[in-house]
Amino acid sequence: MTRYIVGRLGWSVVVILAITLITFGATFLSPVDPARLYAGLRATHAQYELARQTLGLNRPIIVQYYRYLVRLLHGNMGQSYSTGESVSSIVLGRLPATMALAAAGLAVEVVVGLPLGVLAALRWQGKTDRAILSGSLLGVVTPQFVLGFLLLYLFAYRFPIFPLGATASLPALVLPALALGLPGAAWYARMVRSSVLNVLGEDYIRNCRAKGLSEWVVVLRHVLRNSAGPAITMIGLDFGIFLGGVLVVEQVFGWPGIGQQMWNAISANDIPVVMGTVIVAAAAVVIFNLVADIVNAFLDPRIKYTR
Amino acid sequence: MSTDPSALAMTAGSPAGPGESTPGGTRAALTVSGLTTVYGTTRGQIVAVQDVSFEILAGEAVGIVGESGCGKTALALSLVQLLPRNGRIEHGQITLDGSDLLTAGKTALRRVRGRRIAMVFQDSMASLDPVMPVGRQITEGMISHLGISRQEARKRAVELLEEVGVPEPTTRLRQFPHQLSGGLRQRVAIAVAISADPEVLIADEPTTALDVTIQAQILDLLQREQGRRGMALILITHDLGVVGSVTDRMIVMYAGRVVESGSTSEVFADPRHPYTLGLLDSVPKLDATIEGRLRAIPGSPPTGYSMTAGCPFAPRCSHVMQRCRGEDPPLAPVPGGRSAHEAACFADVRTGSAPRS
Amino acid sequence: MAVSADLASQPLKQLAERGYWRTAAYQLRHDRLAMVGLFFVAVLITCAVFAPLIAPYPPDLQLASGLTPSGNPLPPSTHFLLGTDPLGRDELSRLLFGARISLTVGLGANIIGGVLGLAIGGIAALFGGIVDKLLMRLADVILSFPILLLATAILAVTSPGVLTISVIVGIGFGAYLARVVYSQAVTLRERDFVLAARTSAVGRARILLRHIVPHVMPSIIVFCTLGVATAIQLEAALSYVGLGIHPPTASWGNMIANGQDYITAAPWLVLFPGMAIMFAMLGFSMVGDGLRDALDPTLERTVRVKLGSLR
Repeated sequence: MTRYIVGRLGWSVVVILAITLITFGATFLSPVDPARLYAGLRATHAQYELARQTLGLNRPIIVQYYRYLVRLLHGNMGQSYSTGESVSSIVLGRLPATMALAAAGLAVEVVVGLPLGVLAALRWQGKTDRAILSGSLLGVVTPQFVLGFLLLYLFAYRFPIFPLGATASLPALVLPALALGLPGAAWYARMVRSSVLNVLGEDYIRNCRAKGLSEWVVVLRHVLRNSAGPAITMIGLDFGIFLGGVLVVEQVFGWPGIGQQMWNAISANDIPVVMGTVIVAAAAVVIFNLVADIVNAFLDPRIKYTR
Repeated sequence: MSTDPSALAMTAGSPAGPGESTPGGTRAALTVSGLTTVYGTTRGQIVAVQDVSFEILAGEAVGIVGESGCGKTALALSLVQLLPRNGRIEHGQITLDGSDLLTAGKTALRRVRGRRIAMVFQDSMASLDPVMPVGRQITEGMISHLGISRQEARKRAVELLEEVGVPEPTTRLRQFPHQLSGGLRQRVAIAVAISADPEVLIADEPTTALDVTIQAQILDLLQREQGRRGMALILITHDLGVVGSVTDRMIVMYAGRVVESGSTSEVFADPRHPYTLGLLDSVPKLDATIEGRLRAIPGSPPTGYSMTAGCPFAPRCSHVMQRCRGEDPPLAPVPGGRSAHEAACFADVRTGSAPRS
Repeated sequence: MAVSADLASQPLKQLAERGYWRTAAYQLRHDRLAMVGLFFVAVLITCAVFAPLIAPYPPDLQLASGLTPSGNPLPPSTHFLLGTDPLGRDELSRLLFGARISLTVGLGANIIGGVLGLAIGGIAALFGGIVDKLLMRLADVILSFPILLLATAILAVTSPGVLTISVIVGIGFGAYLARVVYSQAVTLRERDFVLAARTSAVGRARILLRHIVPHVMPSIIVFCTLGVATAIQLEAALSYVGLGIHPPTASWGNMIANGQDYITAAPWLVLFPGMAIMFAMLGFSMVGDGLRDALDPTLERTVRVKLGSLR
């Protein structure tokens, strides 16, 4: 078991390193010249060269990358080109709002999607199943930000139940969470349905019935526990895409999280903030996946005892 | 006529612990008559079991033999009505101690499964829940059927595991199926099956996936338990060696039909259906010469789609006659044999192609 | 002994006799949802291809008659069937041209992804050893990355265009397909490889390609069809936040971005592009689902038929 966790941990480190490689590379290739910004537009050639030296831009790439990593380890993600503030404080300051939205969206996704998926599988090819499949098809093809606008128009403007403004408060959380969660729930319901159907088709379920157990017991005690593993891994897999959706939906609703921040930074060509957000967000995804894998390992004795 | 669930429950064996047997005798435990089971597919319907009738007496061991695809598994599943979704019992009767199972309600059926008729499948890894400790899988049925407490069930589970030959039973209770070897797993599967002391145990190819040495041990175990508990044993297999060593009677199936049945010793010594003859011939014998070739039955079994007239074995039969292609031979007592020995053949395989009277 | 046929697999035997692709085509033709999806896709392709001919106005043309006296966009009318945008451009025309972008990115990303996945997965399975491990680890790293973030990092510093977006999304898809192709190719490798081991390296490669490709084709086709829907959604999201296609070129995503400030006054500016996106995604998803059902020879097909009477 520990070997499994250590293995996964090591892998997560590798992925995060790869992320830093990409962000570093992107920063390196960006058209914005930090030395130019640092020295000022009216700097002389000598001052420009001095700026390059100070920032360490005249060193070989590998050295620059190494120093980049070292700075990251100390939590230093540079300064914003726009405001000069430390990127870490900017990004990490807004992180809680994004995490709250992500959590709310995930909650909607699981609370709506899981039961529907299980129900559809149990009533396979019946009316309920077909209804859920149709509904979820519609949900899957609705991008979260489109749904966001729809909800915004209907429930914040037409029927002003929810606030139109962008405050990080509980009522303001509802619509964005629904925009995030409902398409996700549709996808999740389909996945859960497929996973439960797989389990239902297994021999040991037939054997449970051959033992004379009631259908309730078979489902609750055997089917669900066997489908739980894949279901949890699914949430983990989805989180990367999900977080991407969070960042976009923030823009739709003006939710004050790292996403909205990032889009503003992109318009302003504020590369450090953009890259800082990418690193933090990607790291969040990697950590989440790691946790999901470990939880799954705890639930599935096969992983626990074989690795 | 619908079956009263309480009637079914009442005639079940007493909720005694392991080791006590119900009185045997010549009463029929399970009677099947005219059973026909059909599978639906995109290309049409397969008649997996066609008009099959037989009787299992309490405490006897019956072997059902045939190649893959002959309908033996479909038959087994039909007995407990656990056919896959595209399977359906078209008609027939399955009587357990006087009550018809096919008209029984869901609750009654639940009480029969596991408690009065139990099953053991070929793949023990696939028949056990991978995320549940094996001990719980044994006690589950016991608690549900016998109404005993969890502690009592665990005690009995340990005794059961000892009985079926699993070493260190108390430790095993908490282990998971994948931690056990194939042989141990199958023993556990058998323990699960007999945990509620059933009257009939159906074993579908229980040893096919095991090593030969383990095979012998499992068969021994099945025989022992059968004797100890007075259970009827229905052993489904394609292996004649297994049939020969364990069963009292045997039923040979081909293309969904019974083609021969009788006491095992008699059928082995005096087979009356060309298919049975072919099966027995194709088994390598210890006293045969090395130069002799294995006799195989030419051709392949029908796929079950075409319901042609006549005997299904006709295309491959070496005793085939004109009559066989047009008429389907009924299962009838063989001339010169005991009354329980029946075969579905127009020819007399002892002498050649001379028709039976 | 004679060839035995297990009951459950008999339908498959019949299918094999009939021809895999013909059976799949038959199945697909009778799948109502898939046919509706195919219709949607056909509509989409027609709009995209014939946009210059069908569109009533040039998509970039700003018309004074396209705005209200106070400078607001016009609602749908006989002149402008779907209304106008804040710059007085015809919404319908922009939608039609936006279809070009979506379709190009959708198809482009999946073609790139398909080729990449086949190449990487196939090469990794073929050569084994270090090449194998390296390539698959690379694929795993890419997969562990959320595509949107990857796209953001790269697009923030490069000039976005249809090609760039297609390549980035294509790389993400390719990584996933590489795994799929790899796992299927490995099982094949165990079989044919031994036989072909004696021939030259070129022969080996050619033989394996001839065997691997047909075998993995179904998975790739299904994934890529569903992938068009995903790619369209990604492009729309990227364009919406300003990382994708920039105005004045019309993309459904940036049309929504342009119209979002007017959502209360002119909701159609967000509604119509949104519906277009859903329409496109729906079409490809339905076809993709249908393809998956048709090309995947598992049990589901045998249990789907309702039983008739015996005779």
